Order: sequence, then structure tokens, then C-alpha cells
Amino acid sequence: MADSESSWRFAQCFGDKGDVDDVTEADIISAVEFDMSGDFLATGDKGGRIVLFERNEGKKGCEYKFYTEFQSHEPEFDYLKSLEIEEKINKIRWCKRQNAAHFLLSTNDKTIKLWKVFEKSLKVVSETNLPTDITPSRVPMSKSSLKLPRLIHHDTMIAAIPRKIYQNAHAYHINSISVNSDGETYLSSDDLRINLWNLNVSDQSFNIVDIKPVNMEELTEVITTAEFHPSHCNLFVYSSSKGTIKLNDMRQAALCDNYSKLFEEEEDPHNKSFFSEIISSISDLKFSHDGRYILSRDYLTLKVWDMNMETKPIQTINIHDHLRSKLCDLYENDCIFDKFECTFSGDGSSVLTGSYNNYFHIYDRATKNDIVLQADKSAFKAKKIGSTKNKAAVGGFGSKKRQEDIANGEAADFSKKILHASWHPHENTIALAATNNLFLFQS
Amino acid sequence: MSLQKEIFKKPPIAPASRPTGGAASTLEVENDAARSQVGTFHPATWTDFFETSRDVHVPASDATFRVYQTGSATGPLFVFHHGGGHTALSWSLVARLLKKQTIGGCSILCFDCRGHGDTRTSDDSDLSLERLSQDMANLMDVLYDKQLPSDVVLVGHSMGGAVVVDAATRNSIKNLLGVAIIDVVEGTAMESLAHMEVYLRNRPSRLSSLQAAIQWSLQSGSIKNLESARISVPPQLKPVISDQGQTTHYEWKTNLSASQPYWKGWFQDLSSKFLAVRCARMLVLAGTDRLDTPLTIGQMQGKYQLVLHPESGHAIQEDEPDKLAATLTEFWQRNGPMKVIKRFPIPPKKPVE
Repeated sequence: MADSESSWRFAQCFGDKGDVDDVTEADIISAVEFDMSGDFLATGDKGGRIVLFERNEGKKGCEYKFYTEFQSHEPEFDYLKSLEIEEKINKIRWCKRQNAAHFLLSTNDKTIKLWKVFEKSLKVVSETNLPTDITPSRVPMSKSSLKLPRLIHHDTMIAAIPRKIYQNAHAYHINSISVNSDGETYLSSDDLRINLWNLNVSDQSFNIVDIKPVNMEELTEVITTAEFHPSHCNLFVYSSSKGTIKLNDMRQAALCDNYSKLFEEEEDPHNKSFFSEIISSISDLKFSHDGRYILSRDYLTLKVWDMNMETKPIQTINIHDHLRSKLCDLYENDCIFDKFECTFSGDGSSVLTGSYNNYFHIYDRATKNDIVLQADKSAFKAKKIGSTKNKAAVGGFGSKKRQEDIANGEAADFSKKILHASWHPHENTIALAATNNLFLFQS
Repeated sequence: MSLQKEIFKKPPIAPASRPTGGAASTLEVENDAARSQVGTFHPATWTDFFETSRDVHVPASDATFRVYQTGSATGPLFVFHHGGGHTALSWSLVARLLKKQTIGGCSILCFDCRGHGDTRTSDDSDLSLERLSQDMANLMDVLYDKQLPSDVVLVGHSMGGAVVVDAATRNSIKNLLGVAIIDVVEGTAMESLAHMEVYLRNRPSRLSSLQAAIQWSLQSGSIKNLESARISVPPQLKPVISDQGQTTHYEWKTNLSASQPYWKGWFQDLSSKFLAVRCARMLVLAGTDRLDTPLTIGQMQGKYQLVLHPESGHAIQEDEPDKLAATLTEFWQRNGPMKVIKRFPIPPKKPVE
């Protein structure tokens, strides 16, 4: 039955809207992030490029237009280990806007860069002291008649320059970065360590968490994400592959290997299987904007935790529970290791995460309503036809029915998945990365 | 492969490989075992792998060696020498597979060397290369004084490799067809002696039970094959009996740390001695980056056969016994004397009538 309450509709799509089979690997979007005002949207792709979009003011509704593009990271080769370092952008995080320029941090597996994006006014010399058609040798000039050459504004271009490059600090692949609320520091985390940086200092960083075992053969757990608290500059959380979330206070010790709070839900021993540990691995963690709640995404569910209660989450939302029976196949094709991102809405009332077949879920925490939509070609085709048809075609379906369809018939396409998504900080606009396309939906 | 995938996709417990000769491989059973991750860590017995086990007294060495044999009237004799800290039973899987692959056409001899397993000697602490090499020669003299098989292949793992090369160099073993050494390269071994000390320190000195010991050896990655660990780990341990007569815990029989003075002597000049041995030579390695300079040159000159087992850990005979048994069989067959098999008896020439 169609969910008539769903007001979500497709707004825009950027990218090559061609067939999925022809996608160039370098165009696959690997990071999506709105800035703190919501006027700018950044996407990073596997080719190491960052594309920025700017909100088009004046037009009714939500519309973003292309702002600038630059190559953030290049592929590198680690000669010591004979390994390629991919240029794929893993995460983008915006810094708080302090002046006319934008600052954002982007990271690949090994290097973090602070980019300054600003409008550069191109000036051209319009008046010189000498008229151009006379040879300069014998022209009478008096001291008072010399003037400074006049420049006039000719054009504006958008320039992006790397202001700082933070490199050689991580032995393992960087999975996340998070800017502190103090605006001065940020953390970067890889599989086994978390480092604290000062934005102004690129040759030094402090290690604050280290879970590397003395003997690598005994390795059982890795860090999957880390994030700073939105208002308390001393608190940060990190999640592990064993499904634990640890809250740390940096005031307590220089090395935060011991946690202040441990958020872990005890597993039902009846459900234990070979795959329990793998699917409990947390792929993304987010704080709500007010800092009271933590959202965590593991393979099959979304969990909302209250900062004050560590024993169990206050809400557990099943995303694609029908995959529970297919875990064997997903293990074979490695899809069980897919890292889905999750995000809160600006006001914290809804949560968003992606799934396979380009489906994504928007879950309203208050009404417990799960809206399942698909970011697909059908979405923008429907828009052309008309807005009412659009709603039905895009599928403001009741979640249950859609899920059943997926479970029963529709061959799940595990190559089409929405791993990266971002929610506008103030309004109900979301940006989703579907392979090489960026979809914008609005409510 | 990302670190997280590595943790999950390389489980230590793997079902034993099925013998390649004869029985059809039951692959579905293997998969179920891996999926359910039910590994039984129960110790196994030598009777599944060898025909006889006895203690042989060797007066020349003033020792009684525990010897495991599988006999045959014809064919070559494979003599196996285990590595430091291991025992003869570390060859169990290889012995069983070798017998199957040669269809019972070879004899196998594995023994616990001085200071290891169930061998008793007057001086268990003397693990010098010369002593161990002499022990092996003396043992062979006692066992085969009447009839030494026409072809003898010496196989040594790690420290055992150094011992067999030394014995071959001294010509103390007769009828030597070939020498095969497993995962021992002089350069790499010398460099890793320092790591040996660290490894020994990190090894638990006491274990609560044989099952715990088997489990530890799998989890620490020193052995990757469950079936082999079940037979090879128990003989390395001895029970410590309390005053009430109960076994409180188990300890390692061989004090490897105490043998440290001999380590350098084992591996010194190993490469040049190996290349100088006057019979067929084969080196089985677990990784490609482990050849040192003399061996690399020797390999380029074709002085020995190099076989790689990249998936295996240090104890190749335990991790990949099927491939090793096949390699050994092939080594013997290629280097053995040509056997002309007459299919049809040539009828005697009839006198012209």
C-alpha cells in the first residue's frame, strides 16, 4: 500500500546517467558531505577528485549547481611494502567557515589534506604608464606623471589549493577523520590507531588510541570509525569490528586505550553463528547534532544509542533483515564487508542509511515509520512525467511491502548499493551516492 | 585485502586435506566443518599414520631413539628428521600420504632426535650439529645393518635439514639418492635467530591440557592444519604430576632456549654444504623472498630443485602434507634409477627348425 505520508521526492541527479555496466571505476563516488551551512555539497570519488556543488539561491526548492572540481589525491606507490596506495577519497569533512574561503579535509588511505577553496579574482592590467604603441626608449617622463598601473577585475575563478598535507602518520588504511568542535584539532583513525592533529601543524600528530597487539597474529579487532562529540571538545567515540562503541575522554589520559563508556549490546546466544561477529561490525557512527544520541550502523541494522545508557540501544531498526538467510553467499562475494554509512537528520528526528539495489531507508524515530526509496534511473524518469505520478513511481511505498518484494522475487543487485549519504544540516534534503551518480532528494 | 577481511577470511582451523590417491574427496563435508567451526582438539594417535613404533637402543650414541616406521620390501627409504622443538610425529600426515601415493612402495623412517619427543639419551642438552648428525648415522647403522634399501632419500625440516645435509656431506649414509630440505635457508635462518628468542619467550610455558596446547598452536599460527596439530603437538609436551598423582599442567619437553649456543652452528655454511652434496638436491620453501645469495645463484645454475608452497607456514609438512608428499614422490621418481617395466615377456628365440 502506498504510503501517502511520504513527501520525499527526487530533486536532482548528477553524473553520467548511462548504463551501470559501463561505469568507469574512477567515477564511483566514495564520499558525500554537506558543509555546516548546507549551502555546499562535496563529493569525492575513486579517482581522487573532489567535486563541490553550491546551492542555487533564488530558485524555488532545492537546487544545487556545480561549483568547482579539483584533483585531491594522486595514486602513490609504497616502495617499502610494494603496495599501491589508492587515490580513492575515503572521507571528506568540512571545517567551520571562518571567512570567505572554504576549508575542507579530505583523506585517502594514507594522507590527509586540508584544502582551501576560494574565489580568486583575476585582474588584468588596464592602464600602464606608457602608451603601448610607442617604443619606450625616448619618451619624456616627469616624476609626477608616473602612476601605478591600474588593475581591473576581469573574471572570477574558483581556486583550490592544499594548505596542509598531513602524511606518514598512519601505517594502516585511514577510515575516518573528524573535526573537533574547538575548530583547532581533528582526529584521524586507521584500523589500529587514532591520531590527534592540530590543523595548523602538519608535521606532528599525537597518538591517542592504539589497539595494535604486540603479536600481529593475535589480531582480532580493528577500529572502524571514530568521531568527535559535536559540542564537547574532549569527548570522542570509536567503533570496532566486534560491534563495540567506546566513548573516551581526552582529559583522562594521554593514551585513551581504556574507555570511559562502552556501548555494547549483549548478543543473544541463540542467534550466534559463524557470521555473528562479522555482521556485528559497526561500519559507521554518527553523533546527533545535539550530542545526546549516537547512531551506529552494522551490517543488518541501525541502532540509536542514548549517551547515558550503555547496555543496549534505545532503538534497533532492521534495514534488510531478509539478507540474514543469505549471509553465506554474501560472505563468498565479500559483500558482507560492505561499509554502509548512516546519518541523522538535522533535528535528529530521522535517520538515513543505504542498502542494496540502490534502496535507501529514511526512518522517523518518533512515528517509527520506515520510508524505503530507490535512487535509480526510474526516479528521474518519473519526474519528467509529472509530480503525482512521481511519488508513486519513486516508491513512497510502505516499507513492509517493498521489503517483501525484495525478499521474494527481485534479484538483489549487490553491485548497486548506497554506501554514502549526507543530510542537509537544516532542512530535509539528502544527498546519496549511487555508484557514479549523485542523487538529491527533498521533502 | 583490508585488515578486517584478513581477520575473518583466514580462520586458523581448517579441515585436513583429503588424500589424493584413491578416495574421492568429500568437499561438502569439508565446507560444513569450516562453516560450523567445530574443531575437535582431541589428540590423535600414531597408529593412524605409521605401522610400527618402537624404541631402538643405539649404543654408539648411548641413546634409545623412538622410531616410527612404515615398511615395505621394495622401493626407496625415506628418512625424515624433524626440526627444533618438533617431533617425529610432525611427519605423520606426510608419512600416511606418501604410503598411499606410492601405493605402499616405499619405506618410511621417522625418529625423535636427541632431546626431543620420546627419545632418551645420556646427554639431552648436546644438540650440536655434529652430534645430531652422528646420531642419525648410528641409528641407521643399527636399523639397517643387514639390508639397506637401494635408494635412500633424506628429508629434513628446518634444524633437521641442517642435520641431513651434514650427514650427507660426511658420507655417513650409504646409497643416498637425494636430499630434500624443508623451509630452511642459511641467510634467513641466521637472521631470524633473534626472533626465535622472542618467539620462545612469548610461547606459553605451561598449558592446562593437550587440547589447550593444540588450540594454542593453531591460534598462534605456528600450525595451520588442525589434523596435523592433533598428532604433532601432544608429543612435544610432558605432563607435570602433582604430589597427589594428578596432572596439574603440561610443559614443553624440549628446552629450546637452552639449545641457543648450538643455533648458529646448525645453519653456518648450510647453503654451500647443501650445494656440494653429491646426490639430487631439493629445497621446499614456504615463501619466495627467503632465498639467500648462494642459494639464489645455485638455483640460477640449476644445482637444485626449488619447490614453493606460498600458502603454507613454516611447518610445510604439517600445513600442506598432500602437496609435500606428492613433491617427494616425484623427487624420488625423477632421480631414481630408470625402471624398465617389461609389459610382455619377450619369448625366447625359437631355434629355427
